[in-house]
Amino acid sequence: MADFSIFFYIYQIFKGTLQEQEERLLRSSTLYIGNLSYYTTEEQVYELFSRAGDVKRIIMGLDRFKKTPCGFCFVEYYRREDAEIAMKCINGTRLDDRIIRTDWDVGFSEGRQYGRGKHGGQMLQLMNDG
Amino acid sequence: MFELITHVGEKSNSSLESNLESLAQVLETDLNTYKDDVIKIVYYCVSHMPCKLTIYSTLVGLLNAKKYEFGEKLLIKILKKLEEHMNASHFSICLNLMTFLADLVNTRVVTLSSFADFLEDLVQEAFEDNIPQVRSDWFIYAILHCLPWVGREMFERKKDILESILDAVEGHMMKRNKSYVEMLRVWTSSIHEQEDYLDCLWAQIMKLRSDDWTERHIMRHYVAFDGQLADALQHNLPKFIPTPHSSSNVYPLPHVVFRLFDYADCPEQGPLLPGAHSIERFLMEEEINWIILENQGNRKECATNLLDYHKKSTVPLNYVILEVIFSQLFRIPDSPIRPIFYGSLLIELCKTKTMPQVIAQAAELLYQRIDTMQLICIDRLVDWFSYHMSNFEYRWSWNDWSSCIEMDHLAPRHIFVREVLEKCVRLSYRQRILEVLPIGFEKMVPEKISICYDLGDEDHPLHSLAVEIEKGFRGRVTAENMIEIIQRENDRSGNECLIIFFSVLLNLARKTFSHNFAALTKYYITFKKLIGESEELQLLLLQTLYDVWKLNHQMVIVITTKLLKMSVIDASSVAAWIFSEKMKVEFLRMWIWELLCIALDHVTGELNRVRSQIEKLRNKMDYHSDEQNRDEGDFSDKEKDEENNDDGNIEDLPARETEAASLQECLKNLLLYILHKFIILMSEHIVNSEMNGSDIETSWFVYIDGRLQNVFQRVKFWCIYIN
Repeated sequence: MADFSIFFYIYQIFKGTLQEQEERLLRSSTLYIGNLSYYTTEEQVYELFSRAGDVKRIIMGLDRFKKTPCGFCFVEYYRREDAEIAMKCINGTRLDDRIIRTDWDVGFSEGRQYGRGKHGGQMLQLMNDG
Repeated sequence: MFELITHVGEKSNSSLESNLESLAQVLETDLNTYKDDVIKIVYYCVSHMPCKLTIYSTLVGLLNAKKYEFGEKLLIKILKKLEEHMNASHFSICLNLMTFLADLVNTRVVTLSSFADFLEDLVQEAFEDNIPQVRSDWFIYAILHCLPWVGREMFERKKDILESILDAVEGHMMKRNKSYVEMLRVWTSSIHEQEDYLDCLWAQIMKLRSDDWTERHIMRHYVAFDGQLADALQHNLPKFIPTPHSSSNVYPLPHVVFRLFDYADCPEQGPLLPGAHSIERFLMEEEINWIILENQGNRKECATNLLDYHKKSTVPLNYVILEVIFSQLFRIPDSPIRPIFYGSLLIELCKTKTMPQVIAQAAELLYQRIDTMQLICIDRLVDWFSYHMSNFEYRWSWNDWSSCIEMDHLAPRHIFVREVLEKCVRLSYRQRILEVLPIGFEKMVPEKISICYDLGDEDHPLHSLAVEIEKGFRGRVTAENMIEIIQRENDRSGNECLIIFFSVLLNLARKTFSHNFAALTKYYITFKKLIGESEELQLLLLQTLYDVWKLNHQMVIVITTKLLKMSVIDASSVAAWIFSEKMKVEFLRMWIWELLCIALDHVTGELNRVRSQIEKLRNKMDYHSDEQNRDEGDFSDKEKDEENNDDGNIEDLPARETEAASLQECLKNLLLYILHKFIILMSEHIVNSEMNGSDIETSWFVYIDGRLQNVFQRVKFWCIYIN
């Protein structure tokens, strides 16, 4: 279920053919990070993910209305191979005692930092609320 | 067919022997048609699954007994591949192939006399003149590595040759330069011997010899097929002449054998841990090492395969696994895999019933022995342990370690706990960590993070300019306009302008890293204008950053790293600042060395990137030469052409080569500067100690000596001298 929603998420947000998306994913150095605590800071994400390599930037996911963190972020590495190490070693481990999930992402673009659920948060959360 | 062959030996309702027999029969049926495919698959399995080596040597023996030509073709293939991998410096695969050849003696594929000649040729190669010691070492290692498989056979039927080979090896062992051992040991002294790897293997082989070459580890499946193999026609190995040494060869580095456990550490009920000088210990560790290296792409599979190790009922498996994992993590100069992999693997292993308590036992042992642990290993231990804690709610019997609190601030136990807690706070937050710690530990936890900014004070002499600059930032003026604002203040020195500008920026951006990065990027031009090419101003910039964020080490590290990547500052300035008088107060903290290593990695990373580009351009040049001979109608290369364009144009090659030479010079100068600073520091200490008649080896001296080694271990600079 989670996997499907992520795929749906990517499909909805990013314009382009499926093949283009797949190609960009194969070259991407950007990861989507899900299931963060709302209180997890950028600094904590940085400390954890920099153990896999040099982090270029982190974009915290924000509630569209309240502009507060709502449980996801993007991590961009300078190098693809460091992102691969993060996928292998950090995905499924804990940050703030929550098991976080990492997925390849086609790359950050403006607007994607906001949750797209009806109430401003993540769609995944909306599904959980139901 | 691929599945049939690669999966033989895995869990099955039938015995392995009957599976092998069935598989051999299936393959025999049409061996003429498929022998090339079978050979290819067997080669793949032997290269990549050394744990199953005897399965495939048995299979090959059975097939060879039925069809002589198969064995012949296989040997030609293996030797051809051996040569290719040696040329490409793939020495671990070479080792597997050679060991496979040794075992083919046992399955009557290869004549013992021709394999003995092969070993003698390797001895000859090991003693060539004017070759690096690491080349000799590798050939000696390969020879010794083959002996557990084939030693018994040689002992029985070629004893003279075996003895002459051992005599030659012994002569080499006596003469080897081992000055590197001290630098590669995890502990400067330890209750367990930390031996040079060849010395240890030699001792293990000598014990095997004294046991008449009888060992209890290798699973010799072929014994069950004595009848079928006895009549096989054997092959002489073709003459193998290794490629001569060239400067492009990269040999494995020497290492020191890591020992954490002995039998007394393991549960009394249960299998015994083989002794350090038993060949069983060596063979087992080799296999566990291989399982980890082969599964580094998937930590769950890695954990599963480790726990499923085929000898698990004969050894205390949890202890062996942990010892091998830590041997890789603490390998000097580099762990073979990124350290975080070991952290996540250990977390995965904690999902079993018995492993968590052994990991806790190992952590306790490491803490108890930390007084003599090399600093580079302590750093890795800090990173591992803090990461591990963050996955288990920071639960630990911290009270057991409370005696470190009152120790000297340079005592390794004190350093370790203090730095672990700082890393834990970075992965979490201060209040959370304080809550899990017993009373008394709060002094070990970093102070509450806060910014040190006093330009907001109206009485500060620089307050007025700070206000102007702050208005500029809040008004979102451009970088150029900011320069104008600053330059209006004619009565301020350049130094003061830079301090104020950067301090105000840091204060306004203090909320997150991203705010800082955005501000640095936006005002990049302003920084360049204010700093120009002045190293003095770069130092001032770094000092300003520290003065503002001295209570937040992570912030200093992250922003300095960003400034490096933006080329606002140079690695040489970072080094100069770290060794400056003003930074003496922090000189002995772990984060300072983290930062120095980041600066070094920045330069070496750039150099490696440019070298990689040069290599691609040269390959492209070669490719274009061949292009003239290609058919114009060949459409399949279109994609390749487009891909090659991404690597840049061939015309860029001279510029890249100039850049590489320049970076090489920067790295050399950086290392010389650091070395020079260390020499001054240590010389002053030695002179003062002698004048005062006091001890030279103080805790300060031991620490600084450790950091000096740290720097050079990290960049492998010393490796040049062993060649």
